[in-house]
Order: sequence, then structure tokens, then C-alpha cells
Amino acid sequence: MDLFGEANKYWMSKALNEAKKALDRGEVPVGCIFVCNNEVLSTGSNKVTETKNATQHAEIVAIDEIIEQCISKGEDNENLFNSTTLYVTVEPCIMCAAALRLVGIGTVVFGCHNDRFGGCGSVKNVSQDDIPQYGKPLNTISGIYSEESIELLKQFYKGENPNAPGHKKKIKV
Amino acid sequence: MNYVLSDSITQPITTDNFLAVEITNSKQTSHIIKVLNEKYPLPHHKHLRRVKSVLVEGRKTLHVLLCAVADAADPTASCHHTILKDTGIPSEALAAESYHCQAASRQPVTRAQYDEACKLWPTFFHEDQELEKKLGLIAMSEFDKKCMNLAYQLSNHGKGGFKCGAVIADTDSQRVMGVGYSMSDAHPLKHSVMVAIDSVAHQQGGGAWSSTARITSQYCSEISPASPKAKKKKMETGREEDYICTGYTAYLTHEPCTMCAMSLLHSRIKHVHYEMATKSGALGSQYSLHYDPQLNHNFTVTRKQLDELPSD
Ligand SMILES: [Zn+2]
Ligand SMILES: [Zn+2]
Repeated sequence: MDLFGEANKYWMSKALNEAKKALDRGEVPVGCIFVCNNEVLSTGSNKVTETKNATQHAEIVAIDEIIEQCISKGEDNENLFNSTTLYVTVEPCIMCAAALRLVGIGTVVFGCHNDRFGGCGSVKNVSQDDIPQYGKPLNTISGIYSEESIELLKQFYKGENPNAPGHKKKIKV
Repeated sequence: MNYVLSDSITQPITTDNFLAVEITNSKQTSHIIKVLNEKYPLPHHKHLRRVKSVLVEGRKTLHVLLCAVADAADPTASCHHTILKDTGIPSEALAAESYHCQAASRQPVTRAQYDEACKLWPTFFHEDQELEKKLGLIAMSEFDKKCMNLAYQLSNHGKGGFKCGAVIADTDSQRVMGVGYSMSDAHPLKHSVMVAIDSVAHQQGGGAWSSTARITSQYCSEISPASPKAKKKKMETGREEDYICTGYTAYLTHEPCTMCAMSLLHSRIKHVHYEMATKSGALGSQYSLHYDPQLNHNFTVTRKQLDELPSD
């Protein structure tokens, strides 16, 4: 597989656009896009502030949309998720990595690592661990447009708390 | 119910091997301790007292730790003589034969561990009163029981794999802030906890799922009428006000899975009580996210003990 190939870069740039939209809305700039057979199923970005619900990360928002679509069309979502690739600007957190396994996503492509909450190796390895009722492990590919993804997060935290002494540029999703 | 605590708290102490010798001239004791601490410090065992006293046929005898066997260049009795030479301790101050003994490898954190450690060799110990209270069987308050009953009531409506119920409450004001039950038949992420967190968000003017809005109005008003006061809660310092479950307790029929446990952590829950442990649970079984030192928020967890469960 062409890991850093044109297709992956193309879709990741779309995910970055979603992250920028979140930044404009004052949300943590993480964006994602779900793609199945070169077709966009849904896009999402962080909506924690808007919904006052700390679980509304980009991935959860976009999964929700796909499920709603399936329900309205009367289709089964399991097979669909299986052949779908998620492009997300930041490594899915522990919660989202678990959610991705629960829906049975095919492949996850992410930009930068998430040192605070990462569930695909950074803090926990939810993506690979043997977990009862969680289905098969996730295929993960990382590092595509990681600089750009980090830059967006830096912009967000700079704007929010520029004077924080010794504020580490850690990622909060 | 019991607290779900880390192994370092609940497990018996582990031990290391040491070389020790009896002090035959007790007048030399403070000098012996001083020179040993200088020339033969115990860098990995700062929690151990250097000397212990043992009653032998009603007579007090003093014994001193010479070195940890793992740290000793020559872990045999001859080491004893090397130490005498290096420190200048007069040989008549100590017994002719040294011996091997065991002592705690880490500082005890609970009184039970301390008592166990001291049977081997005395250690330093700072009792943590709050921790001690969490060690035994804890009684549930009337409000806890009320919330747990509601969680069971909710679980009966559950659809999908597990029939779980969840209640999120503010124990200070004794209000139910959010409720949930499994809706994973239609939506694989609508576990009871995810629904309950969204229910809290609905109560506070947010929310992502319309199905949650319905059960929120149905159940939350039942126990505690939603009032503007319910939305205000005591804020802790810092930026915690951004998180909807700050200071709240979750009552769950089952141990939450990784997704649900992490969603409670993201919401800054203060305490979680669950009744049934699950294999894939993330608060004590598969993972223990609530006391993970790598995560930025920790919370306390209690669970019902097996012998408290009704036998059928
Ligand atoms: Zn996430
Ligand atoms: Zn769950």
C-alpha cells in the first residue's frame, strides 16, 4: 500500500479542512473524514463546546452521521464500516479508538500523535489490544500531514492561553 | 461496596534480600549507623530503618542492615569483613557472623502493608487516613441506593447486547443530573453511559442525541425537578467549569467498557460506582483508567463485592 500516496494525502487534506472549521468555531481543531470506495460517507470535527458534551469528538460526530444515514435508508452499518477508512488529523483518543472498534472500522489513517489521550499506542493500545466484545484490531497508519495537524492545535492553545507559564505544547483533544 | 484500588495498595508487600549483623556493643550503635549511611547507604531502600531491635529471651538485641544483597559487590559473608574494613567499625562492635534477611522492597502505603513489613524489618511509614477509609467495606448512603435503584430500573429498558443502566448525580445537592440505558440495538455507540453523559448535556442546554432528550425529561424530573439551580454547581478552581460532570458521581449497573470509561474521564467525573464487573471493563478489569498516571484526570471507583450480591 502506498502509505503516503496521493489518495491518502488528498483525504487527509480534507480532514485538515474540517479541523480548520472547528478552530473557526472555537472548538479544539481536530477534523476527520470517513471514506468508502473513494466516496465520502461523512465528515466531522470536534463539537464538545457546542453540545456541552465532552464525548463529541470529531470521530464520534462523524460516526453518528453515518449511522443516522444507515437508519434512514434502512441499511446495515456493519458491512459499510468494515470497508471504510477513517482519515483523522490527530491520533484517536482512548474513547474514540474504542468506538472505532465497536463499529468495526476497516482502517484508520491519522496525522499527529496524541500524547495525552492517544488510544492507538501513545497512552493505551486500544487499537491493538485483545479486548472481549471489541471485534478485530484496527489497521492504523500515522504521520500524514502531522506537522500541519500539530500546527492547528498550537494555534488553538496559543489563542486560548498565550501566557501560561511553561505551558507544554501537549495535545488535548 | 469496595474501592477499586491499584495493586500497589491492595497487594502484599514485596521483599528484597539483605545482609545484616547483630550489634554486640550497643554503645557504638549511633556511630555504626552514621558510618554505614556514609559508606554503605541504601539508595533503593530509603524507607527502611537501619537498625531493628529484637527481644531474645527477654533481652533486647540490636541488629543493623549492612547492605542489600543485590547491591553488594560480594554477596557472601566475607562482605561483612569488607564493610568493617571500609568503615573502620571495630570488629568487636559487631557479631562475628552476619546473616541474610528479608525486608520490604518499597515503602508501605497502607497500615496493613506496614504491619506486614515490620514483621521482617522496621520501615518508615506515613499513614494516609483518607486511603485507610477506602480499604474496607464501605456502606452506601440512602441517596446512593436511590440512584442505584433507578439505574436498575433504567436497565430494564435496555436494548442491544448488554442491558445496562446509568445514572449521573450530584451527591452534594442530591439531584439526578442525567440518565441512560443501552440503546445499542440501533446505534453501536449508544451504551448506557454515553447516553447518560448526553443526558447531562441536555439538562444543561446542550446534547447531541434527540433520543436522550426524551428520557432525560422523563426520568430526571421524576427524582429531582429540573430547576435553574440544578445547572449551577460548585466549581473547583482552574478550567474545570468547562466539563459537565465535574463533581458528579455515576451509578452504573455494569463496569463500563473502554469507550464509556474514557467518556466519563473526559467529562471529569468525580466518582463511579458499578455493581457487576465485566471482562472488557476499563475500571479494574481490562484496564484501570481511573488511576492511570498517564491520564490527566483521576477519579475514585467503587464496586459491589461478590458476597454482597443476592444469591439466586
Ligand atoms: Zn476522541
Ligand atoms: Zn460502553
